[in-house]
Amino acid sequence: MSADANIFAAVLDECTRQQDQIELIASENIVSKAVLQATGSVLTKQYAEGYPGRRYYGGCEYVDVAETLAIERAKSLFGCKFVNVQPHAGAQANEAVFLALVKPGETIMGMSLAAGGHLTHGARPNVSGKWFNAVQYGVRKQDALIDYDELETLAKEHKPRLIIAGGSAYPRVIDFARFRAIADSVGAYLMVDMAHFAGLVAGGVHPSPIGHAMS
Amino acid sequence: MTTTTHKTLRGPRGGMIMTNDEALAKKIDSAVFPGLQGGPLMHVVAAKAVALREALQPSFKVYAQAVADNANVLAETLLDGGLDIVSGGTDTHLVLVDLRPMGLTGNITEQSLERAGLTCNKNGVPFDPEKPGVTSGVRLGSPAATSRGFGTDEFRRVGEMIVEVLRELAANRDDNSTAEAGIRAQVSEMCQRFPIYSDFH
Repeated sequence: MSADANIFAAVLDECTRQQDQIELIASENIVSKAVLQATGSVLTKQYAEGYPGRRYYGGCEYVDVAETLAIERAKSLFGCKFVNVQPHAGAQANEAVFLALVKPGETIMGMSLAAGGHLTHGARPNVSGKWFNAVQYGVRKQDALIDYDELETLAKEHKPRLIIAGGSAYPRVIDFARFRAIADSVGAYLMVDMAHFAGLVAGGVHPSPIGHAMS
Repeated sequence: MTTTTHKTLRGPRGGMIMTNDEALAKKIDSAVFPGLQGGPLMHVVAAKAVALREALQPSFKVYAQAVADNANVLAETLLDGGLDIVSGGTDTHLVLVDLRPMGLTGNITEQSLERAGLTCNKNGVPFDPEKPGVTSGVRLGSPAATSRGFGTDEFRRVGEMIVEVLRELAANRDDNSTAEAGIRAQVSEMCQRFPIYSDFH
């Protein structure tokens, strides 16, 4: 605390702000003390390139325990078979999927930022919009719901390698089965970005995309 | 499937990728490392494990239901107050307000709500005629305030406070300080009734 009074003051001020304002930003939350403690732990200095049991650095036996627990817990929470817990953020998770499945210049399809999509789903300023031929779908004017008919028409026209479902300002449940059917009809991968509603899926109050996505 | 771990999932800032397909999983692992990243942030990975354990507890189901219920009450209260909600409501934690019928824009509304102690962000609405720095909407969400214990009564009150700030702002675009100060005091009172990190300082 006394080591850096300026930063300590900023942290205290931020704490007071969180305590004394009603946080309504849809992408934010208030974490437990246990989560805070883990982020402020000695693990922060550790290099652990690779995966549990096959690292490129020594001294990883205890971080291996932590990463294995994270993987196993995510598997049981979401009922899926394989998990990678290393992406630094959602943007990197999405980019990693693109890197795995799509080549530069190939076509991807995502919801436009204007309709409630996300920057990393093919928006022009983002790498996803610069390195891929990004086709953007939107919502219907009359009810602001995803225009599945437009999505299907665009998919048949552009034959994307990957279709992305999910967004950052879309308040309704997405029809994952319809997305899957459209992706299958054109031989595309389907990626669901559930960043916003993952907690609702985990808590059982929102349909899970796991049976539909990423195959 | 991709996700972040810090939104409704209530963990540290971070990301995650899931699949049921083994061949895809191998490609994804290689894409994350060494394809895109170097060493993972192990303190964050540990915090993800902690948050995922919390999300496996029965209490997290109660939390998720409350997040959805609270967002629904918030949307209903705003609609009752005469506001326009994109898609007419919500199925999730998120409510997008279309400010065009009130003659307001997202940027000044965000600032006025912030001064009233209600933190949110300006956001484009579908077919928004305004620039991204201005916008015609504000995006609201229930996850954080639900974590501090707000229930439907509190979210109804939050909705009423938002309606009041917006109505006053529409009438007093240059200076909404009277309404902002009145709501600010009520926000502080509510926050004191639902404390967070109370032993920190």
